[in-house]
Amino acid sequence: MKIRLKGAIGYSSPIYTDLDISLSLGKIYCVMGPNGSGKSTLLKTLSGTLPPLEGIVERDPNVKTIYLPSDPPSLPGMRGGDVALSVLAGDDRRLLYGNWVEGVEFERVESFLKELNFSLNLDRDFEEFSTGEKMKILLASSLASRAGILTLDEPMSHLDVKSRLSLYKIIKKEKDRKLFVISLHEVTEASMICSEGIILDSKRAVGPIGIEEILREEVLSNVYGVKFKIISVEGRVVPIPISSSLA
Amino acid sequence: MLPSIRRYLEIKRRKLRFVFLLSIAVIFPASLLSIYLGSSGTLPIERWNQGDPIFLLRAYRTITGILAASSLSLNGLLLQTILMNPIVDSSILGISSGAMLGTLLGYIASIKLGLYVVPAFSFLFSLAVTTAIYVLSRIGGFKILVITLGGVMISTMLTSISYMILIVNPTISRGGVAIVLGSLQFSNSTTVYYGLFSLISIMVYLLLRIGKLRKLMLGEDIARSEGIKVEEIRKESILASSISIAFITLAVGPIGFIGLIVPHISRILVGGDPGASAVVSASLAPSLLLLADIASRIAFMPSELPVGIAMSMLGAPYFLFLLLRSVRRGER
Repeated sequence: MKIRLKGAIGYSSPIYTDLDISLSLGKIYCVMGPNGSGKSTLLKTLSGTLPPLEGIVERDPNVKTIYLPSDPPSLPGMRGGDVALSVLAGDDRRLLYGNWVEGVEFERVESFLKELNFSLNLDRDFEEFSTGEKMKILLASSLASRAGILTLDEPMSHLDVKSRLSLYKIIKKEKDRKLFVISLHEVTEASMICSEGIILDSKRAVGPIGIEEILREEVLSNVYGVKFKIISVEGRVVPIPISSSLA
Repeated sequence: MLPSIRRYLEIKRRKLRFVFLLSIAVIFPASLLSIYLGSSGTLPIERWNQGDPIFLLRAYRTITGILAASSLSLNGLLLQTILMNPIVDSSILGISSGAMLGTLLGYIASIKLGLYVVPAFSFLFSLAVTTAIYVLSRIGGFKILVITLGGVMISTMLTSISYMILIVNPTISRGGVAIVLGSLQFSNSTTVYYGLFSLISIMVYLLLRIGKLRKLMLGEDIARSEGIKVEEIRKESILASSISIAFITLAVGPIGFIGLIVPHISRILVGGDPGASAVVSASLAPSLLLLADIASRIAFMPSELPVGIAMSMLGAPYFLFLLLRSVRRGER
């Protein structure tokens, strides 16, 4: 399971040109950078949601890819359970729900939902769940699905702390089964989840490189324009933003 | 309690089986009632044979009604899916009105060109309106209010033109303006064939594309990442739906709201899966339309109302309720 992106990305005009990004199974890739630096555009291009502006994206055509947007879509008329089942479904022609799913996938959805502290009735309208709960349904079913590549756009941003930590645990557990590309703003939590990082700072894209290369005071200060201090908590590198001016 | 997806699926499957069997079972007595009752009084059982003109008329009417109801509600469901808007159907969007206008213009043109141009006109007009709605939706970012209001306006305009044509050329329609309101009173063997073609075409299309439509329901981003060509499937659906709506409008005119109400009830009963709600919609719709038609025929005996009026009186408040709920929930 591999993705290779060669070329330029962007909607109408290129944000980055001459990209050459190769990703492979077993690592958890994090895309980092300030607002508007093109994190979502990169994720969408890697997942095939958006065609590259120039060049190509190579993905094994037999491997299913899912891109989850940072905000859950508005899906009027769907129940929580419908959403989960539709994510699990292959795009085959089965008329009725559920016929495409194997027992294992159900078990996995249920255990992921439980780990993410989701305990609501799936028979409720999807629109009535909170944003975080909607995200949990989408995450649990994507994680349980047969998709080999998951590109998750700030999947943790709507989750509470406990659920976030559970999500990191699940993703780490699943990393040999699925290729993960995740965009995130929470630099303080980056070392808990990422193994490799891609840095976007509007001018150039760097990476993927080891996350420890990125979680450094001077690198982060350059990218975000904020002064950082790196501390170590129980062996984990934690960058703390200190002040908004670099001086 | 564990949020069991298996339990959810089990309950939905059981409900689907129950609702499907029940609504199929109800079609039978509703059909018998539709043949027994009518604006010219009850029809005794001993006259139920092909030689009796009233029996034949009512049989055609009943069959046309069954086919029209299923077809309109499946078309409503498809339009709701591709426009990601649960409060539309072919009448609200003006597609039926477009097909109606095309039919009337087709009748005028057929004086010189022959009757076969009528379906062609109907199809071209329904395709034009569906395409216009699609373009409008894309420009408006698929916002529920933009699509819906745009459709209502298109519908109003085209219906007015249809009335104008009928008033200027009253000989086109045997039943006066009834056809523009949507009515089963013009049923004969031809409308049965039209209805059959319309229903089969939309059913086959849904069967072929249900997997992709299911993914599209998860939103454009997720669908695209799973390899669904979103624009392609929308254009295909527009074509399929235009053909189906054109033929059903040829048969019964623009009967409104059934394509809105029935898919909505189906979703309440079995959830939002497009396959499950399609099965329930197609089996639930005939009874509703037949009962509305029976009521329209016997309410003011011996004259009869077009069933389109009853459906509007039922559907418009329902639509308003759905619209208000959608606005209150802050859906796009």
